[in-house]
Amino acid sequence: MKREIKKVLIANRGEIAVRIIRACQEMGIGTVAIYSDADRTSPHVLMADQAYRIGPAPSRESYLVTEKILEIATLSGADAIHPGYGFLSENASFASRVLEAGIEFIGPRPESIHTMGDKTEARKVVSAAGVPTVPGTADAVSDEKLVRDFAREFGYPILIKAAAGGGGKGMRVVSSESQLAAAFAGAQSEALSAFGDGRVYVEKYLERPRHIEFQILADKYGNTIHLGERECSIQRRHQKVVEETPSVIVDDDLRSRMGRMAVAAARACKYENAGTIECLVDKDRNFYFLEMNTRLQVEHPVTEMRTGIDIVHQQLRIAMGERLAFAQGDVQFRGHAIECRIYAEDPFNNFLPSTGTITHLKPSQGFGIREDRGVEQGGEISVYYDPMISKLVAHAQTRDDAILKLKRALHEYEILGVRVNIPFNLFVLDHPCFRSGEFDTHFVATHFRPELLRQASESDNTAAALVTAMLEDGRVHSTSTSNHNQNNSVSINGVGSKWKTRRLDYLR
Amino acid sequence: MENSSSRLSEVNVASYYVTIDVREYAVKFKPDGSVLVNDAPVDVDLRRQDTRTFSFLSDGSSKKVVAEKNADGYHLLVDGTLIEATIESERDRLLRAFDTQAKTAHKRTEVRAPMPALVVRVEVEVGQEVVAGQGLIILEAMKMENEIKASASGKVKEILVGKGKPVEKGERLIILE
Repeated sequence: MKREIKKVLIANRGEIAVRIIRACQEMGIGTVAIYSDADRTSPHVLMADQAYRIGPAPSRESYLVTEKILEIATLSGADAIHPGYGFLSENASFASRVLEAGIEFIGPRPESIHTMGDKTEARKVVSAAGVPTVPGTADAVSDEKLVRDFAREFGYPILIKAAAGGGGKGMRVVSSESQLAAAFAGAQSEALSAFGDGRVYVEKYLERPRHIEFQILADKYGNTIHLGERECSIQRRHQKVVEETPSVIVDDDLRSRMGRMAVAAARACKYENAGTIECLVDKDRNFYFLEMNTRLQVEHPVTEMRTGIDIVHQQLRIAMGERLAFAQGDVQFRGHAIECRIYAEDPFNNFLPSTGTITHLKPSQGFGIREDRGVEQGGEISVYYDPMISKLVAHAQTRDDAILKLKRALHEYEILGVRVNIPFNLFVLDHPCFRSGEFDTHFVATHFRPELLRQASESDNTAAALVTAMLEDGRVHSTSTSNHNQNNSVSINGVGSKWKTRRLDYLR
Repeated sequence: MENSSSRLSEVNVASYYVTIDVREYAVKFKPDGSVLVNDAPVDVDLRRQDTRTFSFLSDGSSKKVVAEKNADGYHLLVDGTLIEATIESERDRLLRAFDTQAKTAHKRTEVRAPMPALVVRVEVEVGQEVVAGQGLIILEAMKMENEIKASASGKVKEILVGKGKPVEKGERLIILE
């Protein structure tokens, strides 16, 4: 069952393509990039050994076209395809087509993708393996009595939601029996007017839920282990923003119980390669299977930092038919890792996506900081793809130290040309509820208001005003640095001002 | 240091108004090399490190500044914090003020016919002061009388039509100043 992989086609772009190319290079494996017209000079193209045009900028005409990807794989002589995340990564028929073409798919079997991609089917399969799921009715309910019976069995609060659902329409939280009749009727009529389908489901409503997920590694021989949890409760409109490991609420006992559950869920669909079991954990630390992501996850670096295990290397080794070189007991957890995502969006203006050319980019550096990024200075943030620019990860001995390190790195990060959410990330890291660990998936909705974002200090503003005036007046000359430095500067003496240094203010 | 001062002493006082959010900073460069922000003297040493990156020193306080000029003004990162600034020189400001004044002084309002009609009556005379909303002229169209009102206050400079005259849509009727 061993099979050599000499050349990998990366069916993706951006930071994850760069991440995968790096792993291949480290392992001496050749790389083939594909690019749309918008990505001709993107870092993944520059880094790969071979690169082929896949089509116009829109992903439907490029990164999502199975035929073209297979054509390029054959043409370039790739013997494996890594799908990254997003695009075709969780598309079972893409995985099948790749295998049918005699090319290794770096990920799970198509059947596993298919099973876990169907939410109802996934719940059924993992439940059969003894994995807890959020209690709910399997079918739509039309009889109020059934709703009442459900609530009596599992307790209030319960959630009534539209079968055709989405966007909170036709959704009602019921916290006592007296509210039930009105809420049930209300949800049904709202669902009918919103979706033309009045069917509703009922499930247990989890209070103060946290999103906690487990990283899984499974080889082709049934060896399945977990690499611990990731706490991903800090989300904005279901988009994760800050992720960390360990979670403050997961102790050794909960970790081993949830870990066993995650391994059982993965085994239930005969999973192989790297995957993630997403769970909800309520305020009483009851955990429930939510879904499985059958691919490499955006936030995988925090797990890598804490375990020292390169997950992409493992994906490649598993695909080559190697056995996992370590068992569950060999996985060592060290320190604390936090990641925040830097998006091209304006937190002062309702997170409006910001497009344009990155005119200046100098990322943070230093001990304990890792950055995964797929765009360089001069690169374009376009409307075609995800606005994520970078993932900044801090690893330190304790959670507090990791937070301070990440804050330092966010302050150090320099980017101009597009607006970024760095002030929002700092808001999260500074918030007392984040610091104390008392937060849930409602954190952003509950606590965030744009006026709470940190504003520039008065001394920063004054400096900015002075620099602006000096540049406008031509008082700073852009002569070559080999000249006497006085050509490059202006120094003006006045009476001592009262400016104070604020260099370490943010480390409070 | 002396060199820069003497070089600067060759130029006249240069004044700028920098706006950041709602705050304005008046920056003055004097011929003797001193610089004032909102009339307070400040010590500043600014050096370019590369195209957009500068070292800013003031009384021992050190800041890294990345600055870029674009269509709406300047974008600056001061120790990592994004600041947007717009700037106007003293000269630009005077010109703008003069321009605004000139525009106000010579502001003409042309009152035009909103539809083809017949002039029923002119209600004002040349030289008369009118206020916004005051009736100027009555037009008849589709057997209906419509009063055309002044959109702004001013003095009647010219009346271009008389009673009984048919007018086209958009034709000038009265000029206010």
